[in-house]
Amino acid sequence: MDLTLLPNIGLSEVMGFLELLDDAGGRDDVYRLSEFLNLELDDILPVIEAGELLGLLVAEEGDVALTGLGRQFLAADVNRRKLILARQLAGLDVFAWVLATLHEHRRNRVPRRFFIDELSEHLPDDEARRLMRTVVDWGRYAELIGFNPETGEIYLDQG
Amino acid sequence: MALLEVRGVSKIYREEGRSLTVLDRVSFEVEEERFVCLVGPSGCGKSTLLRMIAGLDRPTSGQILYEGRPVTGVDPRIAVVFQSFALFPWLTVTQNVELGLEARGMDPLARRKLADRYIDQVGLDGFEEAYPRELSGGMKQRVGLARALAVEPRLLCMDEPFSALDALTAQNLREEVLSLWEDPALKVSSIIMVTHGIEEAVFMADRIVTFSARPGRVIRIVPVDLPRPRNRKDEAFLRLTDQIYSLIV
Repeated sequence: MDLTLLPNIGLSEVMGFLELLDDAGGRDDVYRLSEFLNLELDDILPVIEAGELLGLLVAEEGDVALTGLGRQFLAADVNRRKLILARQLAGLDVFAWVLATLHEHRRNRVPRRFFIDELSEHLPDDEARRLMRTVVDWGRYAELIGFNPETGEIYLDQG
Repeated sequence: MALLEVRGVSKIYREEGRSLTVLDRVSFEVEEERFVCLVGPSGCGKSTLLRMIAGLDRPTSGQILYEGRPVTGVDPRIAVVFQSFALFPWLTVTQNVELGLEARGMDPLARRKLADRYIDQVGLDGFEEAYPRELSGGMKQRVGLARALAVEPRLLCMDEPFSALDALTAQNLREEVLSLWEDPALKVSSIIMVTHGIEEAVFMADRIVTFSARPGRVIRIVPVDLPRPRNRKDEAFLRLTDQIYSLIV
């Protein structure tokens, strides 16, 4: 499994960034966007990284641009956006692993602790926890997975 | 008849022989299907006025009329979204959204159905069982929004709803609020929003009521005739923003 860490960022921030990029005609200079948003490099890079991972934008030589999928995403309503995100997330290694594990288990439920422990074999503990927090946050929004805070279990969201 | 009329409203706080005039003879109207922003410097009484519109406080003088009748207390057809989200931390997302419906004595099945509908509308599907501590600021405000929408108000009052959010999440939520308002299936007719962000007001509103510093008086009511969706980089947008700054500063 490729343990590319997911950027520690919420999907709302990514969507907000795409909307601002759209205002600029779909392409803009990262420096100009940072200035406009009054954001430092450390704040804007994770957003761009997340957008690229999701296939919604591309970044090269200081510019960012919406992809065709990014434009489709922006034109879509909230539920269609979730479908797009679900498809994109399922293609990321860490999500593919989580989903496969859920499919294998009884009632498609696995304690979050299981995933954190597995990840801790390859990552420092705090990074493993942070990664799972992002997985749960993004996965829940895309309605790929659910999380029960009472039992600490992650489960397949089957609609 | 306007949906909401504010007529000569003043608010004066008195304590130990001293008085503080927060609002001074404020008048304006909100028509059906309008998005109105109240803009002005901090402390000019915008939030106080919004609380009075929502029936949470009373004017010292003047009148506030909703559908032609004086506002004398909380009205079920008016709902509020707060800057600080105001969620109950021991309740799940669904329970928070259902709260207003439970207070109206709605039966559990009916309120669950209504709550689910608005949880879906604001994009919170998947978070029904989550507690506020698990949510980002943007998600918490979506809960606040769903809770307000679930009571199916005709007038939605929003008090600096995006101020506690980071710039990008705030932008995302502004777009989502506008989409919701423009949805003909939604029962909300008009929105009145307090903001200290002039660009935000120009981005969202049909009318901007500009206030002076305390005591808050209406300087001018500015129509925003820019086509939607609006673009912050358009010349007309920038000109209007500048015009409003000139009124207040």
